[in-house]
Amino acid sequence: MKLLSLEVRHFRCVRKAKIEFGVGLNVLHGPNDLGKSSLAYAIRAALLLQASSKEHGEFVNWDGSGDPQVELVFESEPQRIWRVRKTFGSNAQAFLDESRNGTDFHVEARGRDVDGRLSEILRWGLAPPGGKGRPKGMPMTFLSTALLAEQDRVSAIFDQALANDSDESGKKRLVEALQAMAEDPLFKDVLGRVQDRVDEAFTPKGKKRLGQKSPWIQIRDLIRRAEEYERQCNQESQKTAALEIELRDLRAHQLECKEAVERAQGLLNQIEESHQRGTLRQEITVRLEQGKARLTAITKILEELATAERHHSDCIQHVAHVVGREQSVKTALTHANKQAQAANEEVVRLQSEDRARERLLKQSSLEKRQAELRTEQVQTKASLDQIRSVEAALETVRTLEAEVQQLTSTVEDIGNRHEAAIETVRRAEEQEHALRAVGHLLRCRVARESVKQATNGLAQINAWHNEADQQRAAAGALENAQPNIALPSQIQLDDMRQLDQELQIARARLNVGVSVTLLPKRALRVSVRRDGTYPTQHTADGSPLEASASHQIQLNVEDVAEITISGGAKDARDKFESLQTRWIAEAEPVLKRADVASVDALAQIARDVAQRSQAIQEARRAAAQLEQRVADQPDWAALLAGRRQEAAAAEETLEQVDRVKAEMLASEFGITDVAQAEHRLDLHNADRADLIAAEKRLDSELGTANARILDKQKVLAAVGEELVRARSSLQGEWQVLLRENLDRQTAVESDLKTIEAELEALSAEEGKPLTEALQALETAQQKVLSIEAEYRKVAEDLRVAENRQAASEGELKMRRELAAKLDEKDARDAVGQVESELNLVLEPDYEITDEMLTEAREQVQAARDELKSIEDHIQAKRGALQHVGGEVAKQRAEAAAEALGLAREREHELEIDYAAWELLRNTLREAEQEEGAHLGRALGDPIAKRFGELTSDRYGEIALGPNLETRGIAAAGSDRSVSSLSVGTRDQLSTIFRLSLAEQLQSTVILDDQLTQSDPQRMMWLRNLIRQVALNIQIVVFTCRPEDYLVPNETGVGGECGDGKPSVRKIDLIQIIDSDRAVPSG
Amino acid sequence: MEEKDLALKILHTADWHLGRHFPSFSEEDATKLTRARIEAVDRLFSLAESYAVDAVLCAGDLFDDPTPSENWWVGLLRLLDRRNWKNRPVFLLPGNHDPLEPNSVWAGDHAFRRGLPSWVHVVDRDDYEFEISDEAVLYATPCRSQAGADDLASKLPRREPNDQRIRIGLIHGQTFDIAGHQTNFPIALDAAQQRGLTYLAVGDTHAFREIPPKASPTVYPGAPESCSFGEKDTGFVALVFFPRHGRPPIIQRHSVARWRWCDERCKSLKELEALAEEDLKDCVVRLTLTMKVSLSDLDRVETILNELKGNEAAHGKAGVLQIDRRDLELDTRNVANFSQSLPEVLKSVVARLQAQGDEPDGTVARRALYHLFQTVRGPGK
Repeated sequence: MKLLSLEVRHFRCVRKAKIEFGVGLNVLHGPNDLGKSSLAYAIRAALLLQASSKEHGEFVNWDGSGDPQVELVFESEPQRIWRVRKTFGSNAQAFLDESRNGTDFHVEARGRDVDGRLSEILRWGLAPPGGKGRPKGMPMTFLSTALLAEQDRVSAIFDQALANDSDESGKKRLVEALQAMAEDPLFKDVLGRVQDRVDEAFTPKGKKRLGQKSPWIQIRDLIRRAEEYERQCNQESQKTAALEIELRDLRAHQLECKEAVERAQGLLNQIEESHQRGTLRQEITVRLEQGKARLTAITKILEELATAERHHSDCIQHVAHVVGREQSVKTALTHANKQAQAANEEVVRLQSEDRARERLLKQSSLEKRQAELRTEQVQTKASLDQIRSVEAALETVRTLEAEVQQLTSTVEDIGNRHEAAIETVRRAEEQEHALRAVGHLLRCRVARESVKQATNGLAQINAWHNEADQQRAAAGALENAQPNIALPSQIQLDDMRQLDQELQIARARLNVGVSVTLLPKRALRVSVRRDGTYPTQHTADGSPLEASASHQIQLNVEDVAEITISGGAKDARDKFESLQTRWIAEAEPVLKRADVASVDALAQIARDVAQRSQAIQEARRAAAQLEQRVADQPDWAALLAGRRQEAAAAEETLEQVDRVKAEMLASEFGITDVAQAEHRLDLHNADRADLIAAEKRLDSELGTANARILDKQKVLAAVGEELVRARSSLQGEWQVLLRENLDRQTAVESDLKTIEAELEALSAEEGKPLTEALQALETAQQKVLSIEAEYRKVAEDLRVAENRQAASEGELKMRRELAAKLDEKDARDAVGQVESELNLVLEPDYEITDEMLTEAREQVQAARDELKSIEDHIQAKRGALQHVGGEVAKQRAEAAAEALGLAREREHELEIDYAAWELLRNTLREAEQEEGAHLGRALGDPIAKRFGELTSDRYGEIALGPNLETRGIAAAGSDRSVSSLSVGTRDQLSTIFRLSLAEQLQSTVILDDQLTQSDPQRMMWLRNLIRQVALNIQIVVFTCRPEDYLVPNETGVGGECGDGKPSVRKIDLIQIIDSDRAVPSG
Repeated sequence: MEEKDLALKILHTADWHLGRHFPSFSEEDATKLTRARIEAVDRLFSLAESYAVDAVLCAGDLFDDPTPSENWWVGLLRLLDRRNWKNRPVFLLPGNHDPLEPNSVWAGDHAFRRGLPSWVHVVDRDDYEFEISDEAVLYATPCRSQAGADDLASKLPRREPNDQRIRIGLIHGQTFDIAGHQTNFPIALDAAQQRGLTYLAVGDTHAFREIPPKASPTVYPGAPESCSFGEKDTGFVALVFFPRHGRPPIIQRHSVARWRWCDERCKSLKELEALAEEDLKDCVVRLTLTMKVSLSDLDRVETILNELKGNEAAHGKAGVLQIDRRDLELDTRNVANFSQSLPEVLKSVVARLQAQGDEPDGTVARRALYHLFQTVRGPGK
């Protein structure tokens, strides 16, 4: 810190004063009561006292002319110039302005913030206002006491300690300032080396370094590259893993679908098998029934034959029996006739008288008539029997004819149905042809579509090829456009940009403005170069030559000298040159190579190159993807050729088909694809098989019915023949004959009753012998009649029996012929075989309907469709997997992850390492601060040395504590309290203490008339010390005895003076202070 | 067996992985390991020459990437140019790492293909067939992508009934298949028998492996140099002798590797010292330190590690060294011995760091203690 100027108004006795301070020793002298201490107080008030403080009452202007005002300008470090402006009192105001050149100020803080900011700038152990630590009124800390001690508190420094400060800033500043000289050599060496290691990684503010050589940047660059590589690999690997998961799921799904297909197919097979078994069993059952029917028919025919045989045999026996009866009846008749003739002869013998004769005649007539009637009755009865047999035969014929007619009708019906079935089968065949035509048509369409697809595929491949070529061409063009220069990395660019900014800042810090005025004492030729621009030539011939520039002026005085005047502090210039050197060495070659003027232009080129590189990579990747896409496509050319052949074959087949009809049929059936057509055809074939089976059944039924008709017709023929024979034995129509015979029978029976009555009357008239003879005759005649009737009956029976035998024989012959054509064993064997066949075909568990079968087929098709879809997906995913790298990508991702892990581990290790260095550095400092002894020693040793010199080694070591509290001083072999020293000695020790401290802090120290009690010898020694110290720091002395501080040739010299050693400014305050008091003379 | 009884001699190799990156290693070590791969190829070529084999079969993954940088394919061209094998054909098969793709190194218009000698043949067709002699024929199918689910062996033709020749198959893939697992280019275990091959030369697995039956073996020669830690039976090529009269081939494996990859774990300073005495110059060592040591022992550990790793001035004893020191701990119990001779302020520092180091999260403090130890001791002491 260094004071530059002080301006005071209305402050205590000073109405107005303005002082410009020099860099070294400033001796401000004036008589007592002039206001020297007021000025010293004003400096303290400007730096330490808040404008609104009540303590301002102490320095209100004595005549009350205005509020006290102080304006102090000081420099805290090169180019950090501060101006404090405070107005105390009721209109308290405070401003803190900052400037780099001491001319242009800007407001840094106002009001209470001014004091807070000053605390930060000064770091004198004074807490900022607003907190608990800052004392009220004029605060005093160890350093403010040391540097700005009041006149009446010269020795206050011995009572002050750092521990009493309101914050740590003072101690920290002292530690920083004193540590270099305080530390143990080993400690110092260790701390230095540890700090070097910390500095490798951290900035002074504790942030991680970001420069090119920073270990963080190197490891982060490594990690960034590893992360980027790992990210890329991981993306590929994740894609691979995702695809593999999808593939695994798809495969699981595929297995499920396969199982579903197998299940559906198994079910379909069962259903089809059951259906086939059912159908087969149905067919076999039909055949079995047909066989059984045939067997039944044969059995029936054979039974009928057997019955006919038995009947015929019965007929023969009956005829033989009837013939036997006829013979016996004939014999009995002959015997009866003989008996009747004998009876008659007896009667005739007994009736020899007339009456008797008449009666006998009448009786004979009656009996004759009776016999005639009875013969007629027998004949009528025989005729009636004959007629009735004709009637019965006619009835049989009618029945048979009805049966034949019914059978014929049935046959016709079956025939019609059979023909209809044949027609249906024929139509089904036609429909099958039509469906086949539709199938051909659709196949042809599919083939055409396939050709079209292949053509499109081929065109797509060509398009992709072309696109890939275009992408490669674009990539090539971009590659050609890339500049053929090595460009810096982003980190290098950032470093260059940072360097550029630092250089601009450094340059700006140098632009403080410099000016020079050359007053030549003789004519000179001067060349002036401003800020490195082209020099201008001047001829100075007495008049002043003035030149100004922003940061540098170079004067070349011909044949005399070259003078360079540079603006800014040395360290700023050094820094600028260092940065400039770095810029020339590091950045300019890069910019030159890139043929650009700025880092931004270079960055733009780098961005362009990166963008182009990315575009090239993308174009190449796109081209590779297109090529891969082409490679993944099937061989469309070969497929096209094959499909064209298939299409040609399909077209050729289609030529044999009526396309229009096929189109109409497809539309009619709603068939849109081959599978539907084939499905439809399968259904149709199943229907057609059913129709054919039905047609065969009808054919079989028709054959059976025809056979039955034939049988009936044969029976009818036999019965017809019998009827013809019976009719031929009748004279006339049997109905007329029947009626006539019935009438005749009735008449004959009536006549017979009458005759019998007459005969009974005649018999009653005869005598007993005659009667008895007559009765015997009658009995004989009756017997004859009876036997004759019986004979007729037997004859009739014989005729009927013979007729029946003939009919039976005819029927038997017909049946034998029919039976000869039949093979019952064969039919039975056939039935047995069919039954065995039926037994072999198990009955299905349940009935299978066509709907069930269709549904099962649809389920199989649906499962197959899904399976195909899954397989298509799997194929697609496999293709995708080929693109993303598969196992290779996973291996790379693993390697990249391992590398990233190792890099992060290295970073972690590095962080631990540098954290350890930082911890070590901090621990060293903490220990150092807490140890603290070195502060006292650091300051105590030089103080003691100087004090020893001053007092001719009367005093030894001064004991300063860790907080620089003064514990005592060695004297006469023991430690003594400072208070035991004389006032003058204590003032001298205090001055040495304060000067030593200020020297360490490189800070201004104000000495306010402090050595008034010193003898001339010691005063001279102290003057030399002050002047020596003033070579390094600014010392402001307020004194009424300037000769105590100035060497003789300086006495009386006003203003700036110097002898080549310290810069000394002597300021006569009488000329400066506009005092409210009368200035004492002398 | 006499020469006249032999119908054919071949050298079978695979998985060179030229141009492979080793991102886990430092740039210098990675370069060393990458370069080692092409040196191994040179050695196996010399082996082929010394045995005067009739053909050299290279079964895929010869490059680590389908588009390797120019260094690697130019390097391989140089090796091939140094040989004058007009009667010893060399067959290069694209594998899944370097599949036959349009822009790959195997593409017909690639400078590598154009630069190959006439006796070097690239398998660039699915139905590749080459009559090595009257008695022997080679069938091969290349990988066309990095991943695939097809069995490339199924593309090799079956043996015709009257074909008595030695039939050799050359493909790249994996001879195992786990249900539900996506095997890359799976090869049926009985592929050689199915196809009627006398010998099925395959690549992919880095370990030497021979799959029976003897009469029709499937052989992986493995990588001529290991690619990572944990790989076993690597560093070989297969020399195959085919006797006449249909007798089974005789297979010999020959080591061509220079580098040995070892995983070492040292649990004490003594073990580490013993390891340091071994000849590790051709070793890639992954060293895991699991020990708790005193300050002085830690210093010794660091010294040994520096000797093993080497520095700019001197080569390390180990060819390549990777150190895992996560379980290397400082035992802080005896640090007082070290601090006895220190000034008070440093003693105070040691005490503070020791106290922090004894805490569960005292890693940084322990490291700081070691830094202090090293710094106090000074460089080179």
